[in-house]
Amino acid sequence: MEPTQKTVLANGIRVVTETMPQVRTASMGIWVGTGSRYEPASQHGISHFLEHLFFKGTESRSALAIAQAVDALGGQMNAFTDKEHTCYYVKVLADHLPAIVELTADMLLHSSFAPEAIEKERQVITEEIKTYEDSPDEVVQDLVVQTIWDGHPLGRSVIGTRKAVAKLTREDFVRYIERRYRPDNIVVSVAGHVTHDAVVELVERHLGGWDGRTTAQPTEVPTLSPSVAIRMKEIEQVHLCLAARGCAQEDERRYVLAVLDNVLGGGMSSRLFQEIRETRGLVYTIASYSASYREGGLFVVYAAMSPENGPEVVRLALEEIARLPGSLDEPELHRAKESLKGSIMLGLESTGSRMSKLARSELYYGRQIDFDEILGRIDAVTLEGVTAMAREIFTPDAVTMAAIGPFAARSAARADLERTFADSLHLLAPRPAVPTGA
Amino acid sequence: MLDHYATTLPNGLQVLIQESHTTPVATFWLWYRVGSRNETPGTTGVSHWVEHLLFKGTQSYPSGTMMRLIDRLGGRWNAFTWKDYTAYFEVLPADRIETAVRLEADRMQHAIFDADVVASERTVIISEREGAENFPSYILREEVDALAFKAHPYRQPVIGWKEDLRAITRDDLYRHYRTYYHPGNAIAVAVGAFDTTAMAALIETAFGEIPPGPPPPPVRAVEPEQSGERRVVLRRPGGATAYLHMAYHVPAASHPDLAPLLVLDGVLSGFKGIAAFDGGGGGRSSRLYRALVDGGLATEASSALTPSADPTVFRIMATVRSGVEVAAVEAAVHGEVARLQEEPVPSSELDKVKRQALAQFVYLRDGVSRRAVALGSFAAVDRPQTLAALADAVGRVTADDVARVAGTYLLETRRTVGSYLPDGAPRRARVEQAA
Repeated sequence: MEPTQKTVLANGIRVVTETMPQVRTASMGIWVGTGSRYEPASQHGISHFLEHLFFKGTESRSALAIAQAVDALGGQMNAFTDKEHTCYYVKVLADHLPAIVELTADMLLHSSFAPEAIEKERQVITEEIKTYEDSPDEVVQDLVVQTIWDGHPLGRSVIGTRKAVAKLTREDFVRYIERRYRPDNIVVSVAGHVTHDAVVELVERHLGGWDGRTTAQPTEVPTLSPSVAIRMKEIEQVHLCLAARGCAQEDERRYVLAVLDNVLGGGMSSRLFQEIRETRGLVYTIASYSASYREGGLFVVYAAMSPENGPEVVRLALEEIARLPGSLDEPELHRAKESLKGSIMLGLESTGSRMSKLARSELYYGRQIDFDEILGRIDAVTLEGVTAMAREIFTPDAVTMAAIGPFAARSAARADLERTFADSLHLLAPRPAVPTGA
Repeated sequence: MLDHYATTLPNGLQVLIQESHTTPVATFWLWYRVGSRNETPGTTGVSHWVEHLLFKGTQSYPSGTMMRLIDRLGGRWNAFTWKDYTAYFEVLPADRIETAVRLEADRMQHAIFDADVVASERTVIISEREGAENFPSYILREEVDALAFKAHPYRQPVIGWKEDLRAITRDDLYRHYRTYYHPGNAIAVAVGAFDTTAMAALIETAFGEIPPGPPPPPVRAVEPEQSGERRVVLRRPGGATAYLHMAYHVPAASHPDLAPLLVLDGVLSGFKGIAAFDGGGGGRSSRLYRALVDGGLATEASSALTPSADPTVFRIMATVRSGVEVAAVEAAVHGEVARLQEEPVPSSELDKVKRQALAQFVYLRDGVSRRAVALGSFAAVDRPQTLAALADAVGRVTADDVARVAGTYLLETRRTVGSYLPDGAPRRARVEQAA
């Protein structure tokens, strides 16, 4: 028997499962292909707000009854919203899966969206936005995306704005559900001590009656608008991001970028960590990551440091990036590839992470990309490929910087940071002395 | 349910091994019974700093080599320092776990404490501390701990006071390492897809020849009984939200009241994972969530009890909703505490918490890392058997037990109340100056 299986129900819901006979638990996620990317600007934050509302009561259950039902099973139920997906997930003892599918289906199909519940939740979301605004590490990572993808819906934060959230009406939620929460836009993913047939039967029974089709939305590739964004906040540290173009989900070169990311900022032996934290002691946190979406992707370096170290960190980070094409060799490439492969394998430790991998693979590629295929793609990455990609994405006119920090009382520190960034960009210019081999 | 193989080597190293074949992965942990509990004023933060230095290389694995050793296998590795312990771990494909065992045995004895490395790490650690200071909830917790304990070193933050971090010397760090890093003060924990006998032999080979070392100095401080409520109000610029943090003195992990207190915690905010720092719970049907969050007073509400080597505190924390007075949130908490003391928890509610606990014990078996944390942390603060017996002990807790521990420990005279008030005026204006 194949450990992973897929069935498409008559109404279009895709059911994907992975059988793990050696555990006693099951993780289920109901993934809706919607998120902040699919919101009109005037409704910025509606996906996340709506995600909260599904927990607030159905025609037959109060919010408290929903909470009691989950807690009585010792289940762990929650939800998250990102730019392209909203996921309702739960972990339970495998025997309790039928009860939890029934409950989740009731929430998704029969939520009452009582006006007073919406008003109460509006306050909760507003508070959540304030708490987010107090988290400079999160805000700076959103700010850099918003800056480099200025104007594109992918550039907006998931949480939304207080202004838009204040205006959303019950009618807005109902219309949004009609457009986006349709069975052809749903993936149900389950990993754990389950059989595929039993899961399909459960989903069919409780969600088989869901009908309608999602309104198609045209895709739009985001264009880069590199610049600098600085915000002031009275905190101890400066939080800083540098961003450049990355790979979209469908881009086959995402494996090349993953290796490049591993070399630059993927762990304690990465170049940024070694040079800026280990050798110079300038930061506690420095890391890179690549974020891939349907329509585009970004490569981001994030660091936090004391204000006086900001310019030095920016200069050194750009120096490391510029140095990479001429200095990467086979042994380092090999180490990065092995490291990446191992970390992907270790990521499959829990039923929750497997459930998530199953769903994402189905949502982005419509099929399961298995472990062997991923390992093969990583093995196929070459030195030339990584070098070419580094030269291509890090050019002086393509890198954006965002920073948040205590600049109100330190206008010189801010000017210094901006000047250092501008002055250091030339490091990324192609150097004629180095044969590019292109 | 959580059977493990336990032995102690002649040099004192405690060894705990649990086979688990759910995934082809293994994890190796080395726990030292040292943390901020073992520190003295002037050198607070020294345990955490030593932890950082153990990543800087040994004679056999110079700095860069050590960093690459685990990374090249795609392993996850890291360490953390807590009040009662410092723990180092690796997660690797099961057939590569030997590398982790050898590395830990090596750095137990041969870490290099280079003066230049100590100097560059000073700024890294100060930066780590400043990063934590960005979070009001962290600062408030630090203040509450410093007030709740006046004699016991639990009053000191794990990361250390900033002035101590500026002053600690290379020799302070090396002395601390040599005092506490010995087999007799450590616990090795292995969980994963391997054969128990082979793993025991591997650990014996790697650690068996290391001398036991002198016994570490005992922690003699005993917190005097508190005789009146303590309060702290913190005001700082740069935030939008107020926080409440309450701490009640409760006994150490070895006390028989641990199980009833964990159930009480479950009634208040859902039964959590029993591996240290394991979240979970959530419990939107729990009492604090209903009274504070559903009640419109707070956006988040939680309670927590970390099993500890010495008498510790039970915490109740809330993020206050804007427009609500912190005092109103505090009054609601007092109301919930009084209810616990005065009315027995209904049996349906008690059963719910016990079912949550049961599920948590099963979840613990899913992956290797959480099991290793649960085993190691209980071994470090008490005995690993406490963990094995905990499921039964929780099952036996009665409504009377919960009322009794609430009446014994959640008293005004045992509590410290901290509130954080944002000094809000100019903040929003500053954000709008954004470029």
